Amino acid sequence: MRYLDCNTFVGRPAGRMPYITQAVTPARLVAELDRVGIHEAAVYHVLAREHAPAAGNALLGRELAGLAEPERRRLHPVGVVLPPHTGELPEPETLVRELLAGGTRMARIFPSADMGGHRFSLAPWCSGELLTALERARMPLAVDFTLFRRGEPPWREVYDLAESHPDLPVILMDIQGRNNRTLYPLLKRFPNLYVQTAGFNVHHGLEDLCERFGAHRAVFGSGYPVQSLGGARLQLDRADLPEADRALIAGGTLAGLLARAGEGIATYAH
Amino acid sequence: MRTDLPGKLAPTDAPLIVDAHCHLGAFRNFHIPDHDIDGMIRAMDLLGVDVAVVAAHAGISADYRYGNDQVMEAATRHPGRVLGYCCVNPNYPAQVAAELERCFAHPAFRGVKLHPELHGDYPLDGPAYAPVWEFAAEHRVPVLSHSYFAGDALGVFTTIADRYPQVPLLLGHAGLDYGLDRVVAAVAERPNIHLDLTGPLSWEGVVEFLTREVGAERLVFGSDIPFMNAALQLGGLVYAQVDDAAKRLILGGNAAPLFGLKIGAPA
Repeated sequence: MRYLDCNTFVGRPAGRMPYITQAVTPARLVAELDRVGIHEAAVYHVLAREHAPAAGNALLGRELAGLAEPERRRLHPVGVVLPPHTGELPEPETLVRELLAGGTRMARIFPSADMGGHRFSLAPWCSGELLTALERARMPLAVDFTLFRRGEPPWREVYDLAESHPDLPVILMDIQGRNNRTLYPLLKRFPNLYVQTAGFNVHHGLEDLCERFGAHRAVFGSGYPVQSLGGARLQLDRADLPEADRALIAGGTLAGLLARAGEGIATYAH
Repeated sequence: MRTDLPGKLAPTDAPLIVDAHCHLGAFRNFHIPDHDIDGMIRAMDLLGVDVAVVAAHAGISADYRYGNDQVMEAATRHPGRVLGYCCVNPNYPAQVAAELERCFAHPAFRGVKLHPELHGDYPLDGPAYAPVWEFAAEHRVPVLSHSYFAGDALGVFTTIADRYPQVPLLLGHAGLDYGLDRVVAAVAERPNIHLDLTGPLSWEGVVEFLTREVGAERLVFGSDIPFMNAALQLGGLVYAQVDDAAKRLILGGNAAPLFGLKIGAPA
């Protein structure tokens, strides 16, 4: 079983309730992965979320470059992206090309309008060019609505996103434990939607999801360092699923998505 | 369904794991797969959990008698694995005392669960709850109360703890929404308050912080199963960076005397 965590960050977060806050360097993240028995992680920089994507993405690159090579290969950089209209990041085609050239094969967005998000619409007239560029590169996109634990994603936007970009792998990071009644018809309709495991806090949830939609629709993730890496591991390890399904969730599906990012686009350097 | 049953394999190989915060059955607000007692026992077996202390979802909403009956049936179906919290509803004040008597005539009931939020935010220190505190004080029965951001203030819990020092008071969700540093300050001098870790366990560092600040002997494992995924909670504890003795206390050692359990003996 090879574990690849799709949901980690490094940096010095501002902190929030319940006031258990820690700064995590790439080296410390690797040490925690080792302690819990996780092989690899996709990681963004919290500065890109809480301050500015361009600054955070650049800092992530520098910090990961400071790791020794065996550890460096275990951390997959995630680029936090925005629509292009304000000029905070390059035009989408250029942005995606730069991400791929720098070894980034996964993107993440925080579109919510609350104070924890980046406040932009996923509607085609706002995010269409960005999403199209990501889709063309088949770059997996982590969508984080920064939901409160009782929250609900903006379903209409999820629907439009999945429908308009069928070749874009979309990982719903924080679907929470209370949304199956609306999530399930979306999973049924759109094969490009995936669910992050620790964000799917449902009793027998992985088992139910896999039975209905297949194990390839769940992607292992933790939310570390805000949430427990050990909790995420035990959720998957003790799921009532055959080993082949657990292996797919643990890392097989995401490894495949990362490997295919940028495929077929000759101008993108690897 | 997997063919192996990891159960008591490391890291869940503690001699006694008591899940002190469980529910049972459907919940109106969202879909829960396999929410009956058999589904819960299956999840417990996968995780090595020995005993669940259960307050039925029906008991904390509509209706308390129906829910308490569900708990009795579950305890009968799985003897030794299921204990009960008696649920009462303060909006039926004339029935509170009688329902306590009815529940505790059954040996499976070992505590009282209060859920003010789902009973119209009736205050914990309101008169309709008085029979609960008096019953619990007389019989030394543990009382687990839900806490949340819009409910009773932390000071209400401490006032009750001071008024009824004989009552083991389990502060639901460890008072997560008050901020854990405030909780530490509030409970430090009140040994009858125990922190139910249900919910906070999924946060990195909570077990280490609370063990350091209030001591492992004040902490009790809970998962909210089937309201939430039990493994996400249990994993936050068994992978925490505290010593094994502290983990054993939190996993079951502290709950055992509260609920009249002995390690290695049937519930």
